[in-house]
Amino acid sequence: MSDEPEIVVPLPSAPEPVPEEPPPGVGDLLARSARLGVDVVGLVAGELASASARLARNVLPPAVAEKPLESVGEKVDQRVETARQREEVSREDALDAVQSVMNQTLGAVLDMLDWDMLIQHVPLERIVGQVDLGGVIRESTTSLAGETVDAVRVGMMGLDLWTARVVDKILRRKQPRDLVVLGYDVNAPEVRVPRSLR
Amino acid sequence: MSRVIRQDRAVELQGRRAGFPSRVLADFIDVAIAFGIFVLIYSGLSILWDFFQSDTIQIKVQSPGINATGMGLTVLIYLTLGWASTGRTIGKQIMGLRAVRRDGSSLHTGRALGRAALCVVFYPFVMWTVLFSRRNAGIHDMICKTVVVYDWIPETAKRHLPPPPTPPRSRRRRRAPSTGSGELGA
Repeated sequence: MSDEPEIVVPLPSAPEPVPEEPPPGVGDLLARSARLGVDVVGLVAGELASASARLARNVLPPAVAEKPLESVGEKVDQRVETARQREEVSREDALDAVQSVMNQTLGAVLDMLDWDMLIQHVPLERIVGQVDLGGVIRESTTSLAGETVDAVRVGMMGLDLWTARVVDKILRRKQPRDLVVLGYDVNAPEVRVPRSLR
Repeated sequence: MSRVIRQDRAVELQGRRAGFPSRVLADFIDVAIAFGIFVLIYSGLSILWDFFQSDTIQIKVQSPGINATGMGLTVLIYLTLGWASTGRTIGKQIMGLRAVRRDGSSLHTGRALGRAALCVVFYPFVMWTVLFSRRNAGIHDMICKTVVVYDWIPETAKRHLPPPPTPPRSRRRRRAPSTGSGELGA
């Protein structure tokens, strides 16, 4: 063992967990709704003032309307723009609060319900009886199997054509193969009906 | 029930002569199935024989000649039944193929039996010609005047309907008995 002093490297401490902000409740909803109302009123008042200033500039003589009213109109427009931005922010906050309160309310209601008792009242047998589960499973299974088989068949068809093309090229054939079967109907019945039953 | 073919090329080739790889793969599937049937029959007969004639039950291994003959007979009967009934064995059903006469009609028992016999005895020789024939025909196809076509639509999904019952020509005529063709049309 050597007498060298041990070097202690301090490890960086883990960042302190940021406490999660609790979701907005009913109080927040009320406050945000009130703020939204105030903002809307402010916006409406600003719009009215802006419209009045424009009207006055049109009605009053130019000597009065030009300089003083122009500066008033600009200030009013700035206020209206600020009020509009504030109203948008307040509207989003209020919508968040509505959503949060709705989720909390519905969650609380669902927690209060006795699900076991409710399920006992649901006519599950009648519902299941009306749904043809066997048919659904059968249809999906058949469809899946059919698509798999079709994929194999298409692959083999391609291989058939490719093989024929290669062989024809080796044999230096210029005419393509005659694959047509005259008189064959794909939709014709396959099983012959006995004469006695015709 | 209906059968929808989604691939355009497959739709175009329905009813056309099938090529070498598809037919060979279908035949391999058929041989595998026939082998399974042969093993089942062989084991069943052996157990049944021992049940009555021996004190112990065991499956005896016969000579290669007997095995080959039994396997050949199984394949022969299997192919004949498939081709004479719908033109399809299980292998051909899986691959979407069908064996029919050259004019497109179904095979009869005699022709199916002859074709099956040629296949069982001379398979390696008769199949090679499919690869080189301009009509994808094997020697057994040429001899028996048969073709193998692509036909993915199974019998249960074909859209053919029985002919409608013909109305009686006159009221004086006697009514046909109830167990006739009228029931087929229903």
